[in-house]
Amino acid sequence: MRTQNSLYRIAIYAVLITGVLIILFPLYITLITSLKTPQESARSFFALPGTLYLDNFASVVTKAHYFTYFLNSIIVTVVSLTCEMIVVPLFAYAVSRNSNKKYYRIIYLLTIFGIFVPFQAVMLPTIKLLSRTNLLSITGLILMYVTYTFKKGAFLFVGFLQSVPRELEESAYMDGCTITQSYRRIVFPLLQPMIATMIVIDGLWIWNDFLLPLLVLNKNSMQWTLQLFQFQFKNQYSFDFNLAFASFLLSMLPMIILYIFMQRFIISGITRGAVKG
Amino acid sequence: MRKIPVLLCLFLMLASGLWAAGTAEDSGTVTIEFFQQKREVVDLFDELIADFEAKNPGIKVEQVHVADSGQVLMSRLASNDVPDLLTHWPNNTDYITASLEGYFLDLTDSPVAENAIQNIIESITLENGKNYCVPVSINTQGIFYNKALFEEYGLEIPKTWDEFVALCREIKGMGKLPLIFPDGTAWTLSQQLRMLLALDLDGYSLIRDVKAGKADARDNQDLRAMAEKLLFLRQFGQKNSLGTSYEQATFEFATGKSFMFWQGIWAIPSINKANPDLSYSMFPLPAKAGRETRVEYGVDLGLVIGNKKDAAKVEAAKKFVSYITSTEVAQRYADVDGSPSAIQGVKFNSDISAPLVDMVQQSKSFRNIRYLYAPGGNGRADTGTQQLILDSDVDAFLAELNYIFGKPE
Amino acid sequence: MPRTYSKAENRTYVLYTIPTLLLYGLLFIFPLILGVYYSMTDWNGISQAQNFIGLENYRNLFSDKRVVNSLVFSFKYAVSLVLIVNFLAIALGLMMDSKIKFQNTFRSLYFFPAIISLVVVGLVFDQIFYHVFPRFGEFFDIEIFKTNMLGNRDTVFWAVLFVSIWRETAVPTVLILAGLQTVPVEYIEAAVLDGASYVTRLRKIIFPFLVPVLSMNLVLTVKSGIMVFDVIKAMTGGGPGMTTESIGILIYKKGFQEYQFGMASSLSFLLLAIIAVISFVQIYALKKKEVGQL
Repeated sequence: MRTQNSLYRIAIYAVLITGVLIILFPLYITLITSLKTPQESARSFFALPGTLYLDNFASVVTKAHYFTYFLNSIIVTVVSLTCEMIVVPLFAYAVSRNSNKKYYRIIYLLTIFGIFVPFQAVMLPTIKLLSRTNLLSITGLILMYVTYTFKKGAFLFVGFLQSVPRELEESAYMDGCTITQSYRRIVFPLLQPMIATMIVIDGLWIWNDFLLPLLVLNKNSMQWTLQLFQFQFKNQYSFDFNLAFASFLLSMLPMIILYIFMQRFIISGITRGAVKG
Repeated sequence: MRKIPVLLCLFLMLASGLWAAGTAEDSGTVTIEFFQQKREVVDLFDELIADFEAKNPGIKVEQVHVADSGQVLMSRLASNDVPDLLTHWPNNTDYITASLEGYFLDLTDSPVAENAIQNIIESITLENGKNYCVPVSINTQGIFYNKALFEEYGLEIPKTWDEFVALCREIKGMGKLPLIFPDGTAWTLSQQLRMLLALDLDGYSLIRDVKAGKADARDNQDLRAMAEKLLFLRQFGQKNSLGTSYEQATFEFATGKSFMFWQGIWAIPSINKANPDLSYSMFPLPAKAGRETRVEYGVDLGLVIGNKKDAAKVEAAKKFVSYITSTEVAQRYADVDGSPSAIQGVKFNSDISAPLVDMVQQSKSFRNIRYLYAPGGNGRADTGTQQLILDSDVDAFLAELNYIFGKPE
Repeated sequence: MPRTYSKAENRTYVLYTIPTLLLYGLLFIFPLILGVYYSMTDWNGISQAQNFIGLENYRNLFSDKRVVNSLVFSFKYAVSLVLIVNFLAIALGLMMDSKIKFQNTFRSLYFFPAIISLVVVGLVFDQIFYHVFPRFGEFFDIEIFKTNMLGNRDTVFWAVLFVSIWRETAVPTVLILAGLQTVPVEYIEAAVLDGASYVTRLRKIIFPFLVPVLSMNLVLTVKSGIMVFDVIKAMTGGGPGMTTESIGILIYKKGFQEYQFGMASSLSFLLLAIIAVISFVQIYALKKKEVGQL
């Protein structure tokens, strides 16, 4: 019995470690290749680099405006999330406190309907519209993200708020609070865990998204995000795959660093959002 | 109660502020967007633009080069957002469609185009007698070969198709790689298709007949033979050619992996970049027995001005076009790009493409045939030809050619 | 019984819904309506004029072999992804939930792919398929690895799928792991005392508690399978030929490359219908399961 048990355990470790190796293998290749010269890669592809060769990173950073794209990604993600957290809970609050009225029921249903519509169904006319209104820019991209996070966000926030008892707000009303005051003092603080969840889910999506930047920002290279820059970089410097891997690593790096420090927060955010949804 | 409207206002201000920042411009300087689709000359244009801006302080030129430029341009035209200035290929049906829809500035007999060689302008003038493009350079395609390897093994340049096949067999017999095919990149395949359409058969009248409903691609034996030739050549290429992209193939040829490489002369800057020491040259792809060997020519760098209401931008764009087409700058461009110029008085200094360029100049040449394709035919030719290489289904390919040629339903 | 609101309060509530509704109407509902209209025209995307042709685009969809090909591809892809990812997620989740050391480390490592963008994952693997796998193939003498798997029609599907699995298994695994924490320890202990085998415990106790998480995972993977775009765009662009043309890729190509904007719009509404049907089936099945659970 005992030996069988420990055999099981060894098998489990073996499988899990194999999985980890498969997950880390691309990262290993990326790391070592980005630190080598093409000649060194040709000699020994899989070996660790002999010396720390940092020129690849230097050329990505200097030749390719890496920091501009990095900053653009930050701006897009942070501003989109901030706007979302301002307007979406407000909507959800109004809907959840008026669910008996026709207007709110209709707009809520309309919002839920949007969840089922894949982006590709509205992709072509949306891009045409953004272009007509001169919004093929970071501003347009941010507005798109607020719109698209709104659909699912409204659903999650309304669900959450319906489970929050109204007694507190009622008593605040008795004390002379207006709707806005009770929202700010009572409801919004209650929303904090939900907001944290949404920041993780939507933040990951926005930061990593490629299709929307490809459609909205392809016009002006100074507005590219990191993901879009990757795709462009592939085109231009693909002779030098050491350079390409250096750029891959640089675009993964911000997320990796964030993940190292906030993995618990990120994982719990994802799980909470999924279980609620 | 007061705070929420304030927040809303902030939100709207933020949005509109960013918006304004995106569109605002310094008064006094005109900024024009240069939508540049040729990846091989991005670096060169950066230099030329810096020089231009130094000489024209009131104008800023922003070069925009994107992956998938064809799709991007299409989606922008779809919403009337034509770039101030762009490069295009006047034999491309996408260019013709957009020109006829009025997106580009009419440059017929315009002084902007006065430096360009008149014959070349005539060759790209549309059927309605109008021209929307200032040609800067000419391209052609053929077979690159590694001179050092040819000398080492005592190989001769083939004059006929049979000699070409024999050469390939000989190299293969030595256990070496005769040709490298960038079949993973679909446009390189439609490039071979259009070459053979004019070299091995009279594709021009055939396409016109198919368009007029008088012929069917599926019944044409010459087309069938051409498709089979594309497949036949693959035995002299690397294993699984569909796994190699244009960039990878260029790199492999530049580093001596293959003896030959069927490509356009636009690959020269990239080959030089990948291996500055490579000794190489070109020869024309021989036609099938019974047909004269000729080479394709087309405009490689064509400058097109967006048809915009903003007169200042149009003027600035014209100034930049005049600058690029000045003899001195066009010479600089030609020397780096290795392409024959479409500008009067520019000397041709590249010995790599010289054998082909001589043929163009002796009029042993034909016009890039793809201007005859149906609208959207370019994209379909890319995918369709790649599908042929993938599944060797000649019948399906010929049926697809009917669409590409614009057979009425 | 909630109180009735005053006029001013009602106005405030309505005001709260305005910013999002404005955006939603402008950037979602309006394009949606516009799209319905385009799908009934023969618009090529850039011409100034277009003709209204009713439902002809929809009728033509199924006679276009590329559309059929993309539907087949997307379904095959989605089904494979759903089966493999969910199997892996359950297996990995159960293994990590057993009494092992470094549980949190494993969880962090297995979640890692989820934080990397699909497009970068695709680009990295694009290089790996060209430069790395052939070296393995030569070394171990495995024929299918010897050349770029992305250029071979027998392997390209699996190569792209592998990359998707690499990325998409992360979130479901972590969700399963979280779901397993909701299984009351007492139930399991009682079952062990009763002599129930591992399989019985799994079927009778663990899986019923996992139903919500499993259906969540199903929703996630089905949608990402049917709508796949990024990873294909980064690796094959739909090629070679039309082997990896998913519905999303084909809409993009037809709309922006082949001058069939109207046709592409009708294809996108077909995608909408497919997603809607799948969603309703899932909701329906989920409701039944939950009732059955009680």
